[in-house]
Amino acid sequence: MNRRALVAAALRTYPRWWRDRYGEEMAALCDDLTAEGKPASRLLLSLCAGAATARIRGTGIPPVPSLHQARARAALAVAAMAMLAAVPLLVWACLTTGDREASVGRHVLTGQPSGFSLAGEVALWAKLALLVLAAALVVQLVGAWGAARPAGRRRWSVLRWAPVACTLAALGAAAVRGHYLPEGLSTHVTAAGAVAVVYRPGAHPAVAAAFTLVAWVAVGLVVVSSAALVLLAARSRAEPTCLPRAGRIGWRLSVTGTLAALGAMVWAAGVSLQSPPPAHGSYAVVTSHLRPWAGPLASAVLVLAVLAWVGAAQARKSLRVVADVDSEARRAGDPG
Amino acid sequence: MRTRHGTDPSLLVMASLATGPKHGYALTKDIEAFSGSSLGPGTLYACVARLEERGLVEPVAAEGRRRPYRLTAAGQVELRHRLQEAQQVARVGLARLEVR
Repeated sequence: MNRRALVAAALRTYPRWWRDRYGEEMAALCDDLTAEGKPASRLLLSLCAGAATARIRGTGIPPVPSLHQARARAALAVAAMAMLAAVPLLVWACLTTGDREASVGRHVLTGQPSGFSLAGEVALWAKLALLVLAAALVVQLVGAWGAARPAGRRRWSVLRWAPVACTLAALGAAAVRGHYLPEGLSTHVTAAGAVAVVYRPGAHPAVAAAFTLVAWVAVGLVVVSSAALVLLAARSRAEPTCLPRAGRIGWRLSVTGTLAALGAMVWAAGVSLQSPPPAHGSYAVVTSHLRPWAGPLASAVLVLAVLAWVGAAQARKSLRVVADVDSEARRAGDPG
Repeated sequence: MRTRHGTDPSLLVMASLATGPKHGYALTKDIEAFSGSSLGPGTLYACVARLEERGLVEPVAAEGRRRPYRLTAAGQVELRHRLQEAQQVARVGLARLEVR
């Protein structure tokens, strides 16, 4: 393949609206630079980076509702698939701590002996990051939902603070040693926060229980948000092409994965019952056989959550443009 | 995104257009001449698109396959503001170096 064909192939990686707008002049510039003797590798690298920026960030996308609806549809499809695929992994991550041994913070705080395992540490911090990301995702989703509604009817913006509150509650629960992602997470969080100084482990079970109750709402929000994504897509006037397929695949992945995770839990419980009784009764002990998988799975959840977040953010941006164009058109058509 | 000298490419594009309309190749050569930074086509057009989106530059009549761009009035104001900021930082930084 000659240099010109390579450049043409790289230009085809740009979105169609970009090629319609800038394609011809970019091809002319590439011809000029090639004739001047610029290395093809630099041109190709620059074009590929530019194409990725144009696709992900929508740089330069003109405010045409149909373009933005198509973009919102694609972004929501990606986000919905990622969220639905993350649900079973999230269930897994919540049911298996995988970090009982990885309690360096616990050792520091309580003096109890502990070991260290890289997988456990990864699982731990991935879960912590997941909480923050889950909150961010739901913020984006609620924002996108608000953007899809006509201006002046965005009444639910107060909901944006709900996931943040839930995440704080989750961290609070961990800090007071509630039963939400017990042990490892709680000790790490207490090691990081001054709350541990006030609340000694187990000293305020009622407070812990209250925090725990609210904290589970954060997990519930992540699960519900996957359904919200699909509903949001339906409200975005997207043409029913790729979205239902994406939703179906995501839904099947979610159901299959969740059933597999629960099956594995039952299996692990059965194996555990044949073993000597554990020192501490909790899911963490019951699922000790599954622990080695906790790190990679929690990391996968993290990646999927980031993907869903990016998708939702892009959809929000596009839906806002559509709403703004609609509202301007209404203003222009209104003689008053 | 920054050039290897740490300058925002959008600023370079606007500074180049301050002398009059230019198309992609002319912009690349001019920027290379006055700043030493070489912008690839992807970076250059990402900047142009962003500036056009913000109403800071606009296209003029195409010359064959090439389409020149020029600074809008808002672009001139923005460029002046950003250059004054940079000048202020440079003046203070240089003065402090002199004191040492």
